[in-house]
Amino acid sequence: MADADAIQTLGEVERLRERTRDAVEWGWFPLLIFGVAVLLSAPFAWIDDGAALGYYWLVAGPIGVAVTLYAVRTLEIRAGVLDRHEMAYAVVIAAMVAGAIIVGWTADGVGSDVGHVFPIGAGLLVIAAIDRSALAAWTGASIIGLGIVLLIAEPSNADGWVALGEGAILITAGVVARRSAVARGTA
Amino acid sequence: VTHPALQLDDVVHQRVRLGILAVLAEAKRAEFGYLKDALTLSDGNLSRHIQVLEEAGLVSVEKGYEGRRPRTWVSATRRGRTALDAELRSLRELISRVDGRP
Repeated sequence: MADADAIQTLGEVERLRERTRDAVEWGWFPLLIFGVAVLLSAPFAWIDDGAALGYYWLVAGPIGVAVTLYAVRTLEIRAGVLDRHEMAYAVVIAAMVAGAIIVGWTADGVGSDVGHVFPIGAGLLVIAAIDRSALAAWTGASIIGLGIVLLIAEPSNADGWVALGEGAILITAGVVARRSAVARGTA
Repeated sequence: VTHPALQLDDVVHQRVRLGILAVLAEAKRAEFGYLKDALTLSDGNLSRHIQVLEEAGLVSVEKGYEGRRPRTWVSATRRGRTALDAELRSLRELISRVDGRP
Protein backbone atom coordinates (compact mmCIF):
# COMPACT_ATOMS: atom_id res chain seq x y z
CA MET A 1 0.00 0.00 0.00
CA ALA A 2 1.42 3.39 -1.02
CA ASP A 3 2.09 6.08 1.55
CA ALA A 4 -0.32 8.47 -0.21
CA ASP A 5 -3.11 5.83 -0.07
CA ALA A 6 -2.57 5.33 3.66
CA ILE A 7 -2.66 9.09 4.29
CA GLN A 8 -5.82 9.44 2.18
CA THR A 9 -7.48 6.51 3.99
CA LEU A 10 -6.66 7.96 7.42
CA GLY A 11 -7.98 11.35 6.30
CA GLU A 12 -11.24 9.78 5.11
CA VAL A 13 -11.63 7.85 8.39
CA GLU A 14 -11.11 11.03 10.41
CA ARG A 15 -13.61 12.94 8.23
CA LEU A 16 -16.28 10.27 8.83
CA ARG A 17 -15.60 10.20 12.56
CA GLU A 18 -15.85 13.98 12.77
CA ARG A 19 -19.08 14.00 10.77
CA THR A 20 -20.57 11.42 13.16
CA ARG A 21 -19.43 13.36 16.25
CA ASP A 22 -21.16 16.44 14.78
CA ALA A 23 -24.33 14.42 14.09
CA VAL A 24 -24.66 13.36 17.74
CA GLU A 25 -23.90 16.84 19.10
CA TRP A 26 -27.19 17.90 20.71
CA GLY A 27 -25.58 19.74 23.64
CA TRP A 28 -27.27 23.00 22.63
CA PHE A 29 -30.63 21.63 23.79
CA PRO A 30 -29.83 21.11 27.51
CA LEU A 31 -27.74 24.30 27.52
CA LEU A 32 -30.76 26.33 26.37
CA ILE A 33 -33.31 24.49 28.55
CA PHE A 34 -31.24 24.78 31.72
CA GLY A 35 -30.07 28.29 30.83
CA VAL A 36 -33.69 29.43 30.72
CA ALA A 37 -34.53 27.43 33.88
CA VAL A 38 -31.61 29.03 35.76
CA LEU A 39 -32.61 32.54 34.59
CA LEU A 40 -36.22 31.94 35.63
CA SER A 41 -34.97 30.94 39.10
CA ALA A 42 -33.56 34.46 39.70
CA PRO A 43 -36.81 35.96 41.08
CA PHE A 44 -37.09 33.07 43.55
CA ALA A 45 -33.51 33.73 44.65
CA TRP A 46 -34.41 37.35 45.41
CA ILE A 47 -37.41 36.35 47.54
CA ASP A 48 -36.03 36.46 51.06
CA ASP A 49 -36.95 32.88 51.80
CA GLY A 50 -34.42 30.12 51.15
CA ALA A 51 -37.19 27.56 50.65
CA ALA A 52 -38.65 29.27 47.54
CA LEU A 53 -35.58 28.52 45.40
CA GLY A 54 -35.51 24.94 46.71
CA TYR A 55 -39.15 24.38 45.75
CA TYR A 56 -38.52 25.93 42.33
CA TRP A 57 -35.70 23.46 41.57
CA LEU A 58 -37.71 20.56 43.00
CA VAL A 59 -40.18 21.17 40.14
CA ALA A 60 -37.97 22.69 37.40
CA GLY A 61 -35.09 20.19 37.77
CA PRO A 62 -36.98 16.96 37.01
CA ILE A 63 -39.03 18.70 34.27
CA GLY A 64 -35.81 19.97 32.63
CA VAL A 65 -34.22 16.52 32.75
CA ALA A 66 -37.33 14.78 31.39
CA VAL A 67 -37.77 17.28 28.52
CA THR A 68 -34.07 17.06 27.65
CA LEU A 69 -34.01 13.25 27.64
CA TYR A 70 -37.15 13.03 25.50
CA ALA A 71 -36.06 15.75 23.03
CA VAL A 72 -32.48 14.53 22.60
CA ARG A 73 -33.59 10.92 22.08
CA THR A 74 -36.20 12.07 19.51
CA LEU A 75 -33.58 14.17 17.67
CA GLU A 76 -31.09 11.28 17.71
CA ILE A 77 -33.60 8.79 16.30
CA ARG A 78 -34.61 11.27 13.61
CA ALA A 79 -30.93 11.79 12.67
CA GLY A 80 -30.37 8.01 12.67
CA VAL A 81 -27.35 8.02 14.94
CA LEU A 82 -27.15 7.60 18.73
CA ASP A 83 -24.44 9.06 20.98
CA ARG A 84 -22.14 6.44 22.50
CA HIS A 85 -21.34 8.55 25.58
CA GLU A 86 -24.81 8.61 27.14
CA MET A 87 -23.75 6.54 30.18
CA ALA A 88 -20.75 8.83 30.77
CA TYR A 89 -23.02 11.90 30.56
CA ALA A 90 -25.47 10.34 33.05
CA VAL A 91 -22.65 9.69 35.56
CA VAL A 92 -21.19 13.20 35.16
CA ILE A 93 -24.60 14.90 35.46
CA ALA A 94 -25.50 12.83 38.55
CA ALA A 95 -22.15 13.85 40.09
CA MET A 96 -22.83 17.53 39.22
CA VAL A 97 -26.26 17.46 40.87
CA ALA A 98 -25.00 15.56 43.95
CA GLY A 99 -22.01 17.91 44.25
CA ALA A 100 -24.21 21.01 43.97
CA ILE A 101 -26.60 19.71 46.65
CA ILE A 102 -23.78 18.72 49.05
CA VAL A 103 -21.97 22.06 48.64
CA GLY A 104 -25.26 23.94 49.12
CA TRP A 105 -25.89 22.07 52.39
CA THR A 106 -22.39 22.18 53.83
CA ALA A 107 -21.00 25.61 52.83
CA ASP A 108 -21.49 28.72 54.96
CA GLY A 109 -22.26 32.35 54.12
CA VAL A 110 -21.80 33.38 50.47
CA GLY A 111 -20.34 29.93 49.80
CA SER A 112 -23.77 28.33 50.40
CA ASP A 113 -25.27 30.57 47.68
CA VAL A 114 -22.39 30.37 45.20
CA GLY A 115 -20.56 27.10 45.95
CA HIS A 116 -22.86 24.91 43.83
CA VAL A 117 -21.48 26.47 40.63
CA PHE A 118 -18.09 24.75 41.14
CA PRO A 119 -19.31 21.14 40.73
CA ILE A 120 -21.47 22.30 37.79
CA GLY A 121 -18.52 24.04 36.11
CA ALA A 122 -16.22 21.08 36.81
CA GLY A 123 -18.81 18.69 35.35
CA LEU A 124 -18.97 20.78 32.19
CA LEU A 125 -15.17 20.60 31.92
CA VAL A 126 -15.39 16.79 32.12
CA ILE A 127 -18.09 16.81 29.41
CA ALA A 128 -15.81 19.08 27.33
CA ALA A 129 -13.06 16.47 27.59
CA ILE A 130 -15.45 13.64 26.60
CA ASP A 131 -16.85 15.61 23.64
CA ARG A 132 -13.56 17.33 22.74
CA SER A 133 -15.65 20.51 22.86
CA ALA A 134 -14.01 23.93 23.24
CA LEU A 135 -17.46 25.48 23.80
CA ALA A 136 -18.26 23.17 26.74
CA ALA A 137 -14.81 23.97 28.18
CA TRP A 138 -15.50 27.72 27.83
CA THR A 139 -18.91 27.27 29.51
CA GLY A 140 -17.46 25.30 32.45
CA ALA A 141 -14.55 27.73 32.91
CA SER A 142 -16.88 30.76 32.71
CA ILE A 143 -19.21 29.32 35.37
CA ILE A 144 -16.24 28.59 37.67
CA GLY A 145 -14.94 32.12 37.00
CA LEU A 146 -18.34 33.56 37.89
CA GLY A 147 -18.28 31.61 41.16
CA ILE A 148 -14.81 32.89 42.06
CA VAL A 149 -15.77 36.53 41.31
CA LEU A 150 -18.92 36.28 43.45
CA LEU A 151 -17.04 34.59 46.32
CA ILE A 152 -14.55 37.46 46.34
CA ALA A 153 -17.14 40.25 45.85
CA GLU A 154 -19.60 38.78 48.39
CA PRO A 155 -22.62 40.73 47.06
CA SER A 156 -25.92 40.65 48.89
CA ASN A 157 -28.34 38.22 47.20
CA ALA A 158 -25.40 36.27 45.76
CA ASP A 159 -27.70 33.43 44.69
CA GLY A 160 -29.69 35.88 42.54
CA TRP A 161 -26.49 37.06 40.83
CA VAL A 162 -25.46 33.43 40.33
CA ALA A 163 -28.80 32.73 38.63
CA LEU A 164 -28.44 35.73 36.29
CA GLY A 165 -24.78 35.07 35.46
CA GLU A 166 -25.03 31.30 35.11
CA GLY A 167 -28.25 31.55 33.09
CA ALA A 168 -26.65 34.08 30.71
CA ILE A 169 -23.55 31.87 30.25
CA LEU A 170 -25.61 28.73 29.55
CA ILE A 171 -27.95 30.50 27.11
CA THR A 172 -25.03 32.12 25.28
CA ALA A 173 -23.31 28.72 24.94
CA GLY A 174 -26.59 27.12 23.82
CA VAL A 175 -27.17 29.76 21.15
CA VAL A 176 -23.59 29.44 19.85
CA ALA A 177 -23.84 25.61 19.80
CA ARG A 178 -27.22 25.71 18.06
CA ARG A 179 -25.99 28.17 15.41
CA SER A 180 -22.95 26.00 14.80
CA ALA A 181 -25.16 22.89 14.44
CA VAL A 182 -27.44 24.74 11.98
CA ALA A 183 -24.39 25.84 9.97
CA ARG A 184 -23.21 22.21 9.79
CA GLY A 185 -26.70 21.08 8.83
CA THR A 186 -27.03 18.76 11.84
CA ALA A 187 -29.58 20.72 13.95
CA VAL B 1 9.33 -7.73 12.70
CA THR B 2 6.22 -7.94 10.50
CA HIS B 3 5.86 -5.21 7.90
CA PRO B 4 2.84 -3.01 8.83
CA ALA B 5 1.26 -3.65 5.40
CA LEU B 6 1.01 -7.35 6.32
CA GLN B 7 -0.84 -6.46 9.53
CA LEU B 8 -3.73 -4.90 7.58
CA ASP B 9 -6.86 -7.05 7.88
CA ASP B 10 -8.57 -7.57 4.50
CA VAL B 11 -12.06 -7.56 6.07
CA VAL B 12 -11.45 -4.22 7.82
CA HIS B 13 -9.13 -2.60 5.30
CA GLN B 14 -11.64 -2.51 2.43
CA ARG B 15 -12.56 1.19 1.97
CA VAL B 16 -16.33 0.94 2.57
CA ARG B 17 -16.04 -1.43 5.53
CA LEU B 18 -13.40 0.79 7.10
CA GLY B 19 -15.81 3.71 6.63
CA ILE B 20 -18.66 1.80 8.31
CA LEU B 21 -16.44 1.00 11.30
CA ALA B 22 -15.20 4.62 11.44
CA VAL B 23 -18.78 5.91 11.71
CA LEU B 24 -19.75 3.27 14.27
CA ALA B 25 -16.66 4.04 16.38
CA GLU B 26 -18.23 7.41 17.25
CA ALA B 27 -21.79 6.18 17.79
CA LYS B 28 -23.62 3.84 20.11
CA ARG B 29 -25.45 2.71 16.97
CA ALA B 30 -26.26 4.13 13.55
CA GLU B 31 -29.27 3.61 11.33
CA PHE B 32 -28.88 2.02 7.89
CA GLY B 33 -30.04 5.28 6.22
CA TYR B 34 -27.44 7.34 8.09
CA LEU B 35 -24.64 4.99 6.98
CA LYS B 36 -25.93 5.01 3.41
CA ASP B 37 -25.93 8.79 3.35
CA ALA B 38 -22.55 9.22 5.10
CA LEU B 39 -20.83 6.74 2.81
CA THR B 40 -22.85 7.59 -0.36
CA LEU B 41 -23.69 3.96 -1.10
CA SER B 42 -26.62 2.11 -2.62
CA ASP B 43 -28.82 -0.10 -0.39
CA GLY B 44 -27.46 -3.30 -1.90
CA ASN B 45 -23.82 -2.29 -1.68
CA LEU B 46 -24.12 -1.21 1.98
CA SER B 47 -26.05 -4.39 2.88
CA ARG B 48 -23.34 -6.59 1.39
CA HIS B 49 -20.56 -4.87 3.34
CA ILE B 50 -22.54 -4.91 6.60
CA GLN B 51 -23.13 -8.63 6.09
CA VAL B 52 -19.37 -9.24 5.69
CA LEU B 53 -18.67 -7.29 8.88
CA GLU B 54 -21.46 -9.07 10.75
CA GLU B 55 -20.19 -12.50 9.69
CA ALA B 56 -16.73 -11.51 10.95
CA GLY B 57 -18.29 -10.53 14.31
CA LEU B 58 -17.25 -6.87 13.90
CA VAL B 59 -20.75 -5.34 13.90
CA SER B 60 -24.15 -6.35 15.18
CA VAL B 61 -27.41 -5.62 13.40
CA GLU B 62 -30.76 -4.97 15.05
CA LYS B 63 -33.96 -4.65 13.03
CA GLY B 64 -37.03 -2.96 14.44
CA TYR B 65 -39.82 -0.52 13.78
CA GLU B 66 -40.29 3.14 14.54
CA GLY B 67 -44.04 3.47 14.28
CA ARG B 68 -44.81 1.64 11.05
CA ARG B 69 -41.42 2.39 9.53
CA PRO B 70 -38.90 -0.46 9.55
CA ARG B 71 -35.45 0.59 10.72
CA THR B 72 -32.15 -1.26 10.82
CA TRP B 73 -29.63 -0.22 13.46
CA VAL B 74 -25.97 -1.21 13.24
CA SER B 75 -23.42 -1.04 16.04
CA ALA B 76 -19.74 -1.94 16.33
CA THR B 77 -18.93 -4.86 18.59
CA ARG B 78 -15.99 -4.68 20.99
CA ARG B 79 -14.08 -6.80 18.45
CA GLY B 80 -15.01 -4.32 15.71
CA ARG B 81 -13.68 -1.34 17.70
CA THR B 82 -10.45 -3.24 18.46
CA ALA B 83 -10.07 -4.19 14.78
CA LEU B 84 -10.52 -0.55 13.72
CA ASP B 85 -7.92 0.62 16.26
CA ALA B 86 -5.47 -2.05 15.02
CA GLU B 87 -6.08 -1.03 11.40
CA LEU B 88 -5.48 2.66 12.11
CA ARG B 89 -2.34 1.80 14.09
CA SER B 90 -0.99 -0.23 11.15
CA LEU B 91 -1.76 2.57 8.70
CA ARG B 92 0.04 5.14 10.87
CA GLU B 93 2.99 2.77 11.25
CA LEU B 94 3.09 2.29 7.50
CA ILE B 95 3.15 6.05 6.92
CA SER B 96 5.92 6.66 9.48
CA ARG B 97 7.97 3.79 7.97
CA VAL B 98 7.69 5.23 4.46
CA ASP B 99 8.52 8.70 5.81
CA GLY B 100 11.53 7.25 7.60
CA ARG B 101 10.21 8.25 11.02
CA PRO B 102 10.63 5.79 13.91
